[in-house]
Amino acid sequence: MKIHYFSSPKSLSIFDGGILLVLFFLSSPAWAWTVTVLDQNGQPAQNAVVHISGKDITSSSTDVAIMDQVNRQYNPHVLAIHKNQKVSFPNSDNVRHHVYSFSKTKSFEMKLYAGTPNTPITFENEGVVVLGCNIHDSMLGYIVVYDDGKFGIVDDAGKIVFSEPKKAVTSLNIWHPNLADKTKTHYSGHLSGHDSITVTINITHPPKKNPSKKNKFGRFYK
Amino acid sequence: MKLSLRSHILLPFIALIVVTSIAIIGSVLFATRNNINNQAEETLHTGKRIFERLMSVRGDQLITSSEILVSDFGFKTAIASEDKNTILSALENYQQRINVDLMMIHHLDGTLLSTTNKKHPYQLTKEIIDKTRENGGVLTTLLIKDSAYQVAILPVMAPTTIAWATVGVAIDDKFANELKTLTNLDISFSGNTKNRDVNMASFHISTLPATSTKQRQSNEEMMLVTTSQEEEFLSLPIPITENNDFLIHAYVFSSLTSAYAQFNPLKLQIFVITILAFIFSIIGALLISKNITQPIAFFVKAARRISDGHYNEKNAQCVQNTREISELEESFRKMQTGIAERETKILHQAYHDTLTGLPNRTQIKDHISKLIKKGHGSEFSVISINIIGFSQINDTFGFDVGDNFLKTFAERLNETTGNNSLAARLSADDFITVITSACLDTISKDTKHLKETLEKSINISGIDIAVSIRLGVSLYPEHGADAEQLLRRSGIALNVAESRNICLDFYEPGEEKEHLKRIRLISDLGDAIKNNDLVMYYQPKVDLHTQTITQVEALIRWIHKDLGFIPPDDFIGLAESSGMMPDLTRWVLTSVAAQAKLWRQQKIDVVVAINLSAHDIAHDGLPSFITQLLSNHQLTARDLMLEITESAVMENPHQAIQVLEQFKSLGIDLSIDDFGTGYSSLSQLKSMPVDELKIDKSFILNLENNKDDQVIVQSTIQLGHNIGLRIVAEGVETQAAWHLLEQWGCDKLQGYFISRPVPADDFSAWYRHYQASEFCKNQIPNNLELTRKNNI
Repeated sequence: MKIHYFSSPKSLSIFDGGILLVLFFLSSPAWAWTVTVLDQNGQPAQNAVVHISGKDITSSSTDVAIMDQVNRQYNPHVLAIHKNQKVSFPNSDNVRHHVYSFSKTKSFEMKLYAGTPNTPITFENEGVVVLGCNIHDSMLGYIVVYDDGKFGIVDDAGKIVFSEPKKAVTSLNIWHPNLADKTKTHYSGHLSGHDSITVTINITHPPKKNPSKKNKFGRFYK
Repeated sequence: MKLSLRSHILLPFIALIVVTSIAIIGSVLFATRNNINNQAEETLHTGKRIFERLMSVRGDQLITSSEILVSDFGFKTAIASEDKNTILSALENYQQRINVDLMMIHHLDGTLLSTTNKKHPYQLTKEIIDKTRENGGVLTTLLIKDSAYQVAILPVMAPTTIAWATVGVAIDDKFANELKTLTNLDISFSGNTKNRDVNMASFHISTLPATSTKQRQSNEEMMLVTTSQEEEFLSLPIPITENNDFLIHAYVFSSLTSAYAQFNPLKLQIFVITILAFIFSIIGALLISKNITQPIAFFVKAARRISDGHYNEKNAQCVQNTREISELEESFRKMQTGIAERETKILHQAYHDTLTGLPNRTQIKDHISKLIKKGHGSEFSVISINIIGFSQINDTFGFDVGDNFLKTFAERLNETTGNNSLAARLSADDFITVITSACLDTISKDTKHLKETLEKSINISGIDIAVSIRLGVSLYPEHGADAEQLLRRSGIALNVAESRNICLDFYEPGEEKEHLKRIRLISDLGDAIKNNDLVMYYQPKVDLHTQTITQVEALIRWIHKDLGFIPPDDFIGLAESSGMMPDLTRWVLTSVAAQAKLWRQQKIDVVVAINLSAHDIAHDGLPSFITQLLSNHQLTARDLMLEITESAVMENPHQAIQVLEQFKSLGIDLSIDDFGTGYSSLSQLKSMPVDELKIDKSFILNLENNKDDQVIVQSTIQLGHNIGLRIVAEGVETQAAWHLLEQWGCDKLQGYFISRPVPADDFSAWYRHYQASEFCKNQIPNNLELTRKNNI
């Protein structure tokens, strides 16, 4: 199954630096449909966030989302929330963490704490928030904040299921923390046709960090 | 030019030493230079390793401090604040804190966010950013304007990369000096950007003074560098950074000049050692050559002494006593002795007769000279002795007996002469002795005694051989002043004795002059024959029957250029005794034949008579020579006539008659000359094939006054006519003689009354006049008288 791309007069800009992409949908009944996100190697692109929007597609949540810290990792690695939704950062480890974000979307820091902080943090602006820990450099987490539409994170097989009618969808965006090429993650226009859509994205895997600090760098760059 | 032996030894020695010295110095210098270069290269490579190690350590330190820096939360916070002043102040703060020279923050796209080097903003290239992103950070060197920095470029993670942080330490003089202290090498850095982009820069620092030349060593990574102070360095480039944008090299230098300087004492030592070796070798060579040449000089001197005739003296011992020299010296001494012995032998042979052992002529001459030198008026006599008939002893008894005879005779002579005198042998049977006598009176007695003693018969192998000797004596001082003269005159006296057939003769003054004249004439006669110095004169004969001139007698004349007229009797005898007679006769015959031919052509019709000697008759080839001569000159036998003296015929009548027969058979008329002096018998006369008798002039010259002569001549004429011979009278000098002879019927007349012998041309003139004047009986022409008077 293949996706055919061609240019369309309608386009939408969602993220800063986003580039327009066009996707054609086949006309189909309004039942659930699946988006499969694969990487350039045909492997499921885990942690990918798929976001659809349209005139009639709305969703909201006032629940406090949880960005847990387990085994010195943020869990989940990627958290997608609605604008103004609160996120709690419970510490499940037996060590303290110093959670911070220098992202423009939401800059904050929660100095050395253990357990669950009293006050969750509200994310007022849509966008991406990169989470780090000042004590543990290897800890990295993302919170993606959306203003409208519907979104979800793909499962381990790279799949996500939407129940909204395809024809209501006017744009489809895919976000991934390691996107290499952001030009192919945004679709606009009407979706139609098959009940399943497969999207291939380019992702780059960050270099594996070497445990030995001495050999972290090449000796000389010549 | 000839080199001395010493030079021959010394020159190769010195040449060898010089070559060796040069080779040693050369190889030392070469090895030193090589060693220095190798050491310098080694040092440079070591320096390079140290340098790289230092750079690496510094890089590690830089990385460590940079990592700590970019991990600092405050730093991250400052960067994230995006407030430029805050960021700059933070950079400056951290720069101080970790003690670095440069800090820069760049946006992710490489554009500059903030830098502590405000004067020279610097953008990161995409290449570096990619590399940094890929490797999580890089350690490199950057050229910023005219400075170079070793930098670590790291991402600022919050926790994703939000910016690039660059932390650098300057590569400056301080660093270079530090390296110099550590490596003990001079170091320089240089670099420049390749592209004329925003970051364009160039950079050079060095611990060296300005360098003037750089020259890459062939096939080497090394370079040869000369500073403005003329110091030489070997240099090794170390690439630090080379990428698309720029190029930075470090250079380490090792001073060759100072390295060479370290070897100067060594070079001096070697030079001194070489010079010393040279000097000692020369001294050694001199000693060796002296040791060799000294004995040679000794032998040269010895050889000179020997060549000067000093054989017997003992030469000084040679100073050197090597085996070879001793052997040579021994050989030399043997040679010296050998030469001395041989010379004695040769001397003995030179002064002695080998057969008899008596002294020879040379020694007797020396002896006489010594006697003369002694002087004091001492008189002595030189006696030449000849053994008469010795050749017959040889012929009869053989040479062995002859030799023994001579030996015995020599012994006897030696005994006889005694101690006061000396006897010598000159040739086969010629001896000589010198007798010193107190006075002249005793000599006769002495010689008589000598003769008696020597003439005792000698017994050889049982044969008694009688000895007969002849003595010639010359006396000193009467007969000569020197040895040669005395010897010669004693010999002349012996010759005289021989010719007179006497046993003893004393030299008489003048005998030598005569002797010398004879010798001179003999030698001159040969030249005279060759050079035609002899001339033929002709004397006419008148035929009394016709009163005409029908014959002329050819007479030879020799006018010697110094001695004047030589009588034919003198030189013909010499020619006979010296064996020149055949040549002379041939000359005469040829000359006369030529003249006769000329006269035939001139119509002078005379027969030419030629005299032949006893020698000529004995000569077998003469008839054939005459035949040849006649035909060569177109003459007939009638044109010539031969006259032979009666005495010549009588010497060997048998052979003479044979030869005369041969002439006769040729058709030549023959005449007996000087008839009446030769003891011929009538029977011999009868058997001789002659046509004419010529009465000797001794009977004619005084004919008119001597009755005996008249009888002899008249009877001879009659006798001759009776046996059919013509009679010729020669020596006719008066008219009276002419008349007498004419009366007696003589056929022909010859003599000064008619004409004396004259040269051929004069005869031709005379002949014509005579024929024209109708010379007749009893009428003697006046001109004949005149001619005769003038010629006498």
